[in-house]
Amino acid sequence: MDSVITTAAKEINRDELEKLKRSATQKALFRRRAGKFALVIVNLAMSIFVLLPLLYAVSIAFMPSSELFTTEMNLIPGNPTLENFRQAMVKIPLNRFIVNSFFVAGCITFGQILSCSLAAFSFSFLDFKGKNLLFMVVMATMMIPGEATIISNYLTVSGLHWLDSYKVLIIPYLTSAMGIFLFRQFYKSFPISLYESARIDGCSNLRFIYSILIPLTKSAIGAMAVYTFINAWNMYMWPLLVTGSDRMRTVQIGIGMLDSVDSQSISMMIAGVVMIIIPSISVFIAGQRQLIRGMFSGAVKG
Amino acid sequence: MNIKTFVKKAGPYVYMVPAMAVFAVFLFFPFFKTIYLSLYKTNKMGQAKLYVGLLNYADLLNSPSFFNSLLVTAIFVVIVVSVSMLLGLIAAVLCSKTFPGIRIFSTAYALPMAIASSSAAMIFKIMLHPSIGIVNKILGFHINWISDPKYALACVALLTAWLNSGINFLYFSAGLSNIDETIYERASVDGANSIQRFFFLTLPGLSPIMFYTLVVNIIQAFQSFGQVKVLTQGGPGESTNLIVYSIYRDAFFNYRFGSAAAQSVLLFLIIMILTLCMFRLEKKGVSY
Amino acid sequence: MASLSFVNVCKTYKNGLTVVKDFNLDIKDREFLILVGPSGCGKSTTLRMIAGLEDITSGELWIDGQLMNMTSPQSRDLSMVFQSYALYPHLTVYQNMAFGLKVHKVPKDEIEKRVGRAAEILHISHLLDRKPSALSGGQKQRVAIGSVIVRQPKAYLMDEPLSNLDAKLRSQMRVELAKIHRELGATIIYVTHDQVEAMTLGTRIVVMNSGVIQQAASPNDIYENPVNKFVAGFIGSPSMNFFPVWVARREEKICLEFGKNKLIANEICSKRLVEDGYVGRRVYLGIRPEDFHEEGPEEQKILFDVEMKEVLGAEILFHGRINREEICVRLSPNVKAEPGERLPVYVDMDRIKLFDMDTEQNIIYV
Repeated sequence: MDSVITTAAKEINRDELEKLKRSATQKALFRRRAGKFALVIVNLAMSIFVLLPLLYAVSIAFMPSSELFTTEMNLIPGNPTLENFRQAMVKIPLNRFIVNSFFVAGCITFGQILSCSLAAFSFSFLDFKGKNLLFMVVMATMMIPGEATIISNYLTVSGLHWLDSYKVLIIPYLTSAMGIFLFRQFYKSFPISLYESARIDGCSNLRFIYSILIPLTKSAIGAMAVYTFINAWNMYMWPLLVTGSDRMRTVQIGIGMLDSVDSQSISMMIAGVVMIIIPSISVFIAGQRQLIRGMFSGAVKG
Repeated sequence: MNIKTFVKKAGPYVYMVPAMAVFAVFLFFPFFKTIYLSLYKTNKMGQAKLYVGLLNYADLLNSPSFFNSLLVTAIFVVIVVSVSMLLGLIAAVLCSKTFPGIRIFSTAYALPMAIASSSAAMIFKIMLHPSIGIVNKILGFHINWISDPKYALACVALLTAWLNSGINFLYFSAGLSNIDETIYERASVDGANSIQRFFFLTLPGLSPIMFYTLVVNIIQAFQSFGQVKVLTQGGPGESTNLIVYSIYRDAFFNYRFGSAAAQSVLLFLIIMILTLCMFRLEKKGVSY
Repeated sequence: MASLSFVNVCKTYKNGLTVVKDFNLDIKDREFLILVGPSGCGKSTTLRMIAGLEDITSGELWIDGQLMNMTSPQSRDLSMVFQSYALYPHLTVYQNMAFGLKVHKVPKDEIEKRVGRAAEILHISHLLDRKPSALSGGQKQRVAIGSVIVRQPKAYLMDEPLSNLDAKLRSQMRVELAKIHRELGATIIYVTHDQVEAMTLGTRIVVMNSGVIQQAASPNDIYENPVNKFVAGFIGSPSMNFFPVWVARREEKICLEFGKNKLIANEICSKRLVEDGYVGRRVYLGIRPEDFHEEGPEEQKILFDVEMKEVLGAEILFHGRINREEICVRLSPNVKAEPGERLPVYVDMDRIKLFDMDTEQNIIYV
């Protein structure tokens, strides 16, 4: 029972049919490939635009300062050199700053993970009076902007003679409402029976946290670690206020010591900036998948 | 109540102690102390010396400098939020369909979120340098951008927008991936081309996340400090004297902690009111 | 409405998996054609190839005499109901239904007219201002169907539209769909895994398995004259019983023997079995549960052990074993037999089917 269509199709010369098919296919495939190609090109342009400041900085950092002051557009260093980096390390105690920042950021990250996971554990698995109220209070802290507290905090720590030390940089940041929220969301996805069966088995709370909960929370911990480390590394206003000596400065403040506008210093300054950007960018690139998954695990909604 | 029951009842609270202690000392206490301070005039050490009631507030509301800060901050926030959300949106849309190399591009677009405001500001300082900066070289001008009251604010704003575009890219990418794929298929069969699909499906699909992103962006924009300190120090001629910077200056250069505290409180109120208004508006907006 | 033609269509994914093989089919104008088969048989993929949502790896797809392999979905002038309904969540029911018309630049009053009429047919006029999140499953499904019938495309495509509904709603919607088909005079291409739906709705059924068309025929043909064991077993509920039997010649009669049971084949069957050389070999005997009787001649009797009985009111289904093979028999409520007993039943030898053991083809296929 051949339909009209197939008979008509068979009437067309087989060759012509093949030609028709091939040209249609080719055109469509071309359009599709061209589309993908255009997408790549546009993305390339856009990402160069977005990365321009960084690429520019890297280029200047490797450029000998003599090449800087020309009127032509020089984007690629003619004689790349490591001199700027060396000078930056020499001119200011960059080593010390980097060590300080690593130590401070590391402690803050560790401390936040610890305090937030403990608090979130309490909120998720335990029952106690005022639980909901206390949780709302914690969430409310997210509404308080830094400016509302920074002056008083400064006065507090200066009264305690904590200025210019590690503790003044670390202790105020040992917890975060966002961290508690993140962990709590994560814990909510575990069945309560996980906790109950551990208790029945005679497991103490601490043991439960240490041997069962924490291993299961690895991805949330990873996300938080990346986020907290980067933010701690990038802190500016607070370290500016509370540290003053070369011994205690962190990288973001310390790098300001290279800030000036004569040609030799510019290359040095940019080289310094590039050096202190590398750790945060590396942590970001290495942990971005963790970070993104952690940030959006709660199905962000309006 | 014996020891055992006490320990049992106290247990849950114990886990909260580290976090709550930090909140109490460094968040709640200073918050109230700031309000307290704003009602006094202080000495150079920050001790409240003279009770003046709402005088600090009255002074602020009568000072042209404060209103200038408000205006400058408002313009700043508008530029930052609109540009950074636009950048983030464009980047997210460009990365919505997979293509070779998408991973690398996604990383690139999100990268600005890992960069400190002060570091970025130093780079921008050189980019905007009148003679050797790349901006002047490409555009062919010789403008000293950050020393010109006409352009300084825009420069700081664009820098901040760049910094915030990374996180917006992530938010919008998440929003895009939350849109059900099959409605695009249905729209195709219904006859819609890609432009129509973008305007009728993608943009409305993004509206829930857009609200959230907007709120987050605004709050963050209000807290911009590092860029101002490094790039313009509030100048030239107070054209970039954002409220946060003005607070810093008042407190740590002029030692007028009382007045600075009052500004902090006002800033807090502004952000609160804005956020509440936005939540009200959202209820009336696109609902699902 | 339009006619479609598949010529040697194959679909292979990049990883080498071939999901549709050598698909040849002509779909005529105004047919209600149903693609039916188990999960993964390629029926949804075939439908999506018609819509343009999947590429055709090789072969040709003709719609109304035009080669459509590479045409984009939006230019094919088709309309599709998705299994998940795919309603636009931010639009009201009215706007959902109007969307396709709006895109095709239909004037506003015409849109109003058509949406109003479709809403009436489907009893959703009172829901026009609601958003999809405020609808029940059945209502969503009607909106999805409504969105499709307001347009006048070349054909309507439906991908398992009833599978997410409860049984009662499903049978209601089956009636509605049949009505719509009649009233609209539409060409409908419908995918389902439910053979009851296929049999009741379709004018023609295409049974698929593992990407290959097993049989394309009217419901009656498929039921009476299945081309192979798969089709015979897939269509019909409860499904056909299969027993491996020996074909033996006893005193000039052809007998089908299994265990202690011996059935004598009728003329037609005997002739085919002899002609095609099946004597002395084994074949599959297929008997539908409804083709057993309570009484009959001795030579059509078989005995089986009742294991379970399902009383359905107008009939009883007896499940049991015969020769270690499972058997299901449908009889009238008069029959009294309990689990554990042996029940004799009589096979309607004019209605049996015989299948080759190796090829599983129907030996007495017409």
